[in-house]
Amino acid sequence: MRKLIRLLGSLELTLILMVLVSIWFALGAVLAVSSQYGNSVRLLNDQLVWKSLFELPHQGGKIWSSSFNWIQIYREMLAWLPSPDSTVRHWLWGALVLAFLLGVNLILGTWAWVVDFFRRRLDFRRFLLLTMHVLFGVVLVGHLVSAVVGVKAVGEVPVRVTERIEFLNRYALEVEKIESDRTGDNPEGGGSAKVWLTPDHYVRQPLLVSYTLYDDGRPVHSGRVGTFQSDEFEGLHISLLPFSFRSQVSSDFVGRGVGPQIAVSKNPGIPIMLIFQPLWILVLLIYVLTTLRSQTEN
Amino acid sequence: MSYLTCFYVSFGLYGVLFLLSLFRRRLSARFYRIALILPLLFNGLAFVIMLVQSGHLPSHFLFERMVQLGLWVGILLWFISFRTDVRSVAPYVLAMISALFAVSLFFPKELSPLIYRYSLLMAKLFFELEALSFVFFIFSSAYYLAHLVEGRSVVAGRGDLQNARWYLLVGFTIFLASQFFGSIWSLQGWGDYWMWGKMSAVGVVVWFYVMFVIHTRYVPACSRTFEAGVGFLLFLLIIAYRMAWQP
Repeated sequence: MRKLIRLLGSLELTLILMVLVSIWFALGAVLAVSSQYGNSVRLLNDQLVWKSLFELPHQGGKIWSSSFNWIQIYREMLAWLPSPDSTVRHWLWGALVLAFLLGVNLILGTWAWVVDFFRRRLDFRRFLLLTMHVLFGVVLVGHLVSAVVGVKAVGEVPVRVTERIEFLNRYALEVEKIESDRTGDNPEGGGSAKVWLTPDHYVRQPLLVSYTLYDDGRPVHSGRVGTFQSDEFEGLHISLLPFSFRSQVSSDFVGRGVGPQIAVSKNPGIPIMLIFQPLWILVLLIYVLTTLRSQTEN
Repeated sequence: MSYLTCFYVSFGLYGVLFLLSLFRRRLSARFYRIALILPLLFNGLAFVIMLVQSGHLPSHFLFERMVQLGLWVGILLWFISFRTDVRSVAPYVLAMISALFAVSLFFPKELSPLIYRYSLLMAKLFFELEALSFVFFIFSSAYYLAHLVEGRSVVAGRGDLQNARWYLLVGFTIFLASQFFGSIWSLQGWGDYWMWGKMSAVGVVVWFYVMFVIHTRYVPACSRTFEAGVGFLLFLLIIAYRMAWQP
């Protein structure tokens, strides 16, 4: 048992896990840009992560282009590929296992360090090292909280009048009006009827979407959102997701149309990230400056 | 003069300078101080013309980013040549600038259109701090490569590995800051600080790979050559990162 604990807290395992995380997320990036799996990867954004471990919000089939000359051969080839949904869910499970092992490794590795820290003479640089590792652990906890707790509900692409998003078994958001945003303060470049929105040259108008929020059937809030002009009500964050995010895979345009989506989110992990991530960076910066100073003095 | 002409001229000049440094290893630090001015001038011109024509910082398309990185890395090399002896690392830095420019030849050389992301402060901070972190990463990789090729060198007073590690740590701090501002940008636009997609995935790849390189020093089984090898690979990872960002 002691041997296992030593192994789980070892720096050798840390190195292996870091390489594995790099490789795993490189694979994730490949899945995200793939015409077959890209849409399923982006479905992960439509609900809390823990739910996606078991089921994605929509079933995405395999995609093939009717303009492809050797359509039959293409279909045969695709038949051998695993389904997008299960591939993405398995990838997510892998990421979860790696994050869990990294967390265990961090706790066990840092614990021995904490004990050692109090036994030996107090040293500022060792204190900084310990603090930055603890803060990294807190950032991991922040991600865990975001994955498990909170609200995430997303509408269809593109947003439509009378669209209704129900969430938490009591709230509902209903889209009432969609209009063109010609205000000067639009960060998309308002004032003109059309703007270049994406680097791949798709053109569309910036929109303003009016909605009403219902609590148990009673209207409790009305608001209006545009791209990068979100609204808040009792901790619920209502956003109009920028269209460009979904334009990265051409298959987005197959059958579903184009345009932005409306989303409701509430993430209790945000305060953790907003406080502890800058603290982590600050401690690392102090450590770097201390290292430089000691090297210059030497 | 168009930005493309300036780019090709600066590319040629960096290449000539690299070849000179390769075949004449006894070039003085003063030579680099003087010789770098011309390629930097054309590189800077390309950057400024792109800036004026596009109306935003050139950060989104790979070509724009490589021109920007080449300029910043060149300026840093020129700047530190006044403070330390850059003879051990300059050929490798020049090789890396040439490699960045060579990679950009395979990508579209048009300027990215003026789109919403350039008008938001958090997006600007994200893109520009990311570029700055890559400048330090490139320097770190150059020192690692110098160690791999030439073995232990203490020309600049500190060893190559020590220099590499310092640049790596500075670059990592700036990279983390850029990721933080990127999270706030994401929060403003998408309602959450984390969105699953290629951008966040490649960010994690760089993040953990840098942490891997930083930690190799503390594992006895990893030799200094191993550390230098994996440290140099960071340069290739940065190129791959930018390729993933290219729409």
